[in-house]
Amino acid sequence: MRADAVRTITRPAMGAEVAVTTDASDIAVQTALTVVATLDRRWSRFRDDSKLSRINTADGPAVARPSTDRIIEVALAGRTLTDGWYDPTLGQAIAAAGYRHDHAAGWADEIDPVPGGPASVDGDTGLVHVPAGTSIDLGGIAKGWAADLGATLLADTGALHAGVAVGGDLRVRSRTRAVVEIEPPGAEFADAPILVGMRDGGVAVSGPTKRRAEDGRLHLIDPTTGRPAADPRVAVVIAASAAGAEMLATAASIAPVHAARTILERAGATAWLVERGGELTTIGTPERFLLDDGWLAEPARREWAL
Amino acid sequence: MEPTSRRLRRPARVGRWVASGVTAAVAVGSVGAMAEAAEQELDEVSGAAIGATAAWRAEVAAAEMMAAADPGDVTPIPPPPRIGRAGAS
Repeated sequence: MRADAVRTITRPAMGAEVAVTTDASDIAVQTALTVVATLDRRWSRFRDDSKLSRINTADGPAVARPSTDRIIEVALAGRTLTDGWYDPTLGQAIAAAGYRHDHAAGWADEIDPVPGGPASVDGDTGLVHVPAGTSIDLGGIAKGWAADLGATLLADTGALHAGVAVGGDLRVRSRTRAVVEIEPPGAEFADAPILVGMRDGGVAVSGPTKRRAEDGRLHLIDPTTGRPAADPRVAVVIAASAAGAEMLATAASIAPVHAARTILERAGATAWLVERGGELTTIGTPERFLLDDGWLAEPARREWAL
Repeated sequence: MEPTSRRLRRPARVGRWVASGVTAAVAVGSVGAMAEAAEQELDEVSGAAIGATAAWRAEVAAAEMMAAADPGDVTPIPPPPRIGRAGAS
């Protein structure tokens, strides 16, 4: 198949923007976008007719195939591997905080704590059981998973370079080292992205920057309290996949810094953690990726405000 | 929250298509056929018997997804393409 020039195609999906940058053929790009749109319809918490909504409201175990059982399995495993700091069962806490739409349209004045709960997947039957009082939210991991599948599809069709970003979660599949831009958390220094080089991997950024209410309440729920995290940090994570990076970034943005370090080092990921005021913690092997430290370069650039 | 000390290093197939189905659909040239092939192979992946239990299989997959990325050659072939932009969502 003839390879086309590297170009970027964008579409709205998953309450965000999907950006596909690749030299793959137009039909391959359309297929990748179709897959992302399909997963959006399947995994949205904001559509009553989505597979996820039906699972969350079912009286008992619900059929989750194809693929929904798999992402829930992996998300629950991610909860274990992040020592509980990433928790996909906090859907009710997110809704209680006012995050009921695919954007922060208005937040509750009083937030009752809603802890996560048990949920299980039967690997043989594909049945998912979400008990009453618990709700699965796949928001972050779904974006990463969709980016992973889109980029993998493009690579499988023979693309030399494929980068798929869904709501900022990016997956790269490139035959040679390609350059990725990582935006700063705020509008300032938007012209100074971090530049990293990678061939195969995912990048995710989590923090209290875009999806926040006007009153400062956040969609990042502290799983130890069931309330919006009190003082989250910005976490930039590079891992083997976008979904993995997303789970790690979410955990690393709200866990105590020593716990975040333990989780990231155990995974083998590379990360930059930026505290309010600009304090920087570096984890992993950033020297293997970093081409230009952009907005990370000095404390004044790293500062950000809630 | 108790830290886990388990080291997971088993291969996982999650997020990868068997090339044949998608490639065949590309040859046919139909977006619908490609999406259907990808979907079917997704289902096959979800049903693949990688480990003894679903929980273990999922932990292996999640650990693989969280593992270190491949940075590629330290000296890139110039000029490397800019392949995308990541940011907070």
